[in-house]
Amino acid sequence: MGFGLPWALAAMVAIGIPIAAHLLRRQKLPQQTLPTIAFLQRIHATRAARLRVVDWLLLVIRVLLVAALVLVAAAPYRVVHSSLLDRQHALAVVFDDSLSMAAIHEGKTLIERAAELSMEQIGKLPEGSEASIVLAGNPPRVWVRRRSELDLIEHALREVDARSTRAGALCEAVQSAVELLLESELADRRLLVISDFTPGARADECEWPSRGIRVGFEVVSTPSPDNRRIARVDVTPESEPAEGVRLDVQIEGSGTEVPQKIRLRQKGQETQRAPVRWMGDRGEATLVVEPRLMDAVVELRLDPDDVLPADNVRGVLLGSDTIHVLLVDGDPHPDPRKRETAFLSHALGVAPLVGRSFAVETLDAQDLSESAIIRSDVVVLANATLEEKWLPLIERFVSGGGSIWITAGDRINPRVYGSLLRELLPGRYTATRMEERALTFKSDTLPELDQAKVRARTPIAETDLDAVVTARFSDGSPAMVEHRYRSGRVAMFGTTIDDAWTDLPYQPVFVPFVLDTLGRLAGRTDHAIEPYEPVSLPGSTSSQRIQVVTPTGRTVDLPEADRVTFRDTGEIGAYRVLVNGVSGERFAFVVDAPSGESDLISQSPPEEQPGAEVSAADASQGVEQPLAPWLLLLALTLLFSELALRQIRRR
Amino acid sequence: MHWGSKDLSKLDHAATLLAALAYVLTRQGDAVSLITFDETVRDRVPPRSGAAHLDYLMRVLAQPSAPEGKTALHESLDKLIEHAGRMGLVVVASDLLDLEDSALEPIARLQARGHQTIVLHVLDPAELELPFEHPMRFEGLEGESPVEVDPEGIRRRYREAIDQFVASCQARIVAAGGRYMLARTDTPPEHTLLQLLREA
Repeated sequence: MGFGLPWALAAMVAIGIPIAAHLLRRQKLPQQTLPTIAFLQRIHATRAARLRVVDWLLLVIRVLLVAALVLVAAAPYRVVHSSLLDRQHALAVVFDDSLSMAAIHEGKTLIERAAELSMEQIGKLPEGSEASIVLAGNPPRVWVRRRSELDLIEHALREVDARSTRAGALCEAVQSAVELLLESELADRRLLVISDFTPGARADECEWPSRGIRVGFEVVSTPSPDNRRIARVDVTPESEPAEGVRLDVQIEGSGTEVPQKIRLRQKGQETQRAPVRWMGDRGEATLVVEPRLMDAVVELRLDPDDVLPADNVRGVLLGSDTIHVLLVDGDPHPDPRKRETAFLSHALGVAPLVGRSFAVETLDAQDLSESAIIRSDVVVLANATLEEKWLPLIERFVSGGGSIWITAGDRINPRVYGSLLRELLPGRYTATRMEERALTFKSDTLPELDQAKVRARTPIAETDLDAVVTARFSDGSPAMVEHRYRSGRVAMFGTTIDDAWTDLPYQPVFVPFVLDTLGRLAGRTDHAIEPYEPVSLPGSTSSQRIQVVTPTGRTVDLPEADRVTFRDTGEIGAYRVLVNGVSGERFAFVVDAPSGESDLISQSPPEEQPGAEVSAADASQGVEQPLAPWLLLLALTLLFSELALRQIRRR
Repeated sequence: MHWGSKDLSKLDHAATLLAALAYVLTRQGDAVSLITFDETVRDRVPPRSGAAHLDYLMRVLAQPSAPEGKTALHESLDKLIEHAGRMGLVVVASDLLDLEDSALEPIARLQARGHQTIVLHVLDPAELELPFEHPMRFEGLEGESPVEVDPEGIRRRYREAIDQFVASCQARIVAAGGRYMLARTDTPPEHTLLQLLREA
């Protein structure tokens, strides 16, 4: 027996009140003279014995009444240790299927052992009971909802992925399980939590039910939590671009004397390996990826000699600092030096000298294709005559996070741009003007732009409210305007990017102007996500097939749509997105092992921690049965008895 | 008789009634005598008439001798018979609480001698109704053992007992040839006197 509010028992001193009242009443009776006392004596003589009994009974009843009320306030309960075979009850099993539970012990993962334990407990349920299973990997899932068919539950448990890579969401799962139990009409409700209770489970942060639901814990763990993980990879370009990039790999976990290697895999093939140097509980390895072997994304694998192989893999996005630029030349020329994009190419060619990396591809406007666009971060439409067929390509590209930079020139038709790309553009081109007196530029970020002269321009009008003017002509009109469109950005330049209308390409400020503009437009996002986190990708089209290659080499065809939410991200490592069979860096992403799941040292379940208000017993053995209703019934009975005795006393 | 639940005792009320009656009788020229008693006769005023006698009689009624011991009605009535002369009106004012079986026998003898006997049964309303609310320790006036009771619990039975006692007194007095009149101390004396004179 126990009490929900044991401090309320202090009120038990109140039972002294009826006793004191009884004694005081006898001592301090008022005196009254009455000549007819003989009549009272005669009547009293016949009642005295009965009154003494009634008085004592009244005293006892009042004491019991006060005691019963105090006990009700203390919320007493008794623990009914009934066998599972005794009575029907609702059992909710919270089953931790996070990454740490994929640790292997004696040939089985902890998830498989947890499934066996769950089945064992559920198998003991008496007929008419119901069981629920909630999986506590992120996101928590109700795997079985209040069912009593053993075959069905057993089948469902077999379906649980024994090699989970999920993060932990134990607290949310407990909440779901409690809700399921509260839905049940069975009064005997039990919650069984099966987990390794590693730090990643964060069980001490959970809100455990304290009343009405019996909570039990089952710890499944590996006795030798020997685990290592690739904690960090630093990608550093070598001093000479021709030497490629260096990967400094840091490994955490228990050190091992067994020689260990880190292996580099590209497109599913091992291309390199390096030994791991251990210093205490940290290991290091270095690999160099040559430029000719450079891929958008690579994968590192640590020799899987520990109990949790899943976190021995890590995807690495290479060249994440490299901006892929597609230059679309609207005014091609046989002499490369006279192309519209010639100065741009030169400027981007000197970028490595200032620590910037660009991968540049140049196309004539008539050769523009979706596959070329989708591989790029930024597409520069240099004096390009706009064709209607480009419209969906540009729309999809910008919506998916790509950026467009439109530069002016004699091939730009303001009316066509305005009508076809109005929604995308931050402003509207107006009629081209030749300036009688040369203008200059004004820019707060690049003041040196004022050195350049502009002889002709295609002015930009009606800029959007959210557009940002990054440079102006000396007459105050916008020279460079940008804005965000969905996930991407669009910029408009009011004059040519070659020397046709301006001497800007000859000015020293041209290179920083180009590099800053392209860098700003290509602004990247972090491509590392957690397992099962959805990723937004462009869908396939009739002319373009989009596929995702998972770390294990599975190829998933994306359906036809503008955007596809890709959810099959349960594997840890590097994912490559193929556009018509060619990998494009902009859509490569990696899935990292959830942080905190690699520490396999089990902690105590909550009931063994000080201050936790959770019962320690196994949920399969006992349940708290509140006694307050019975005590209230007793108190009511005592109250009626007291009233009845008072009536008897008066007769 | 010296007890009263309010300011006025039963003795005061009885004295008021008897004084008023004596006044009426004296005014019509009758001789009036007075005997006060408890265990024995305490004061005795011989029958006379006239204003001076009335004045004396009233002073005796106003300051009766201090009571001693229990009341002995039978003996006191016997003494009264001894001193009662020719036919007359005998008025006895008492609470009759010491009433023994033989206590009222002298009334029959008085009646036999040609006297008209009227008994004024003087009782306090608290004696008749037991109006007390809470448990109390009750004590008597004549050395009875105290008793602790809750008046609410026994009120009904007490009233039955006292009603029975009053009825018994009335029955026995009437049976002896006398007249009975309950004189509650909360009833104005003039009402009782008027009723007495009407029925005389």
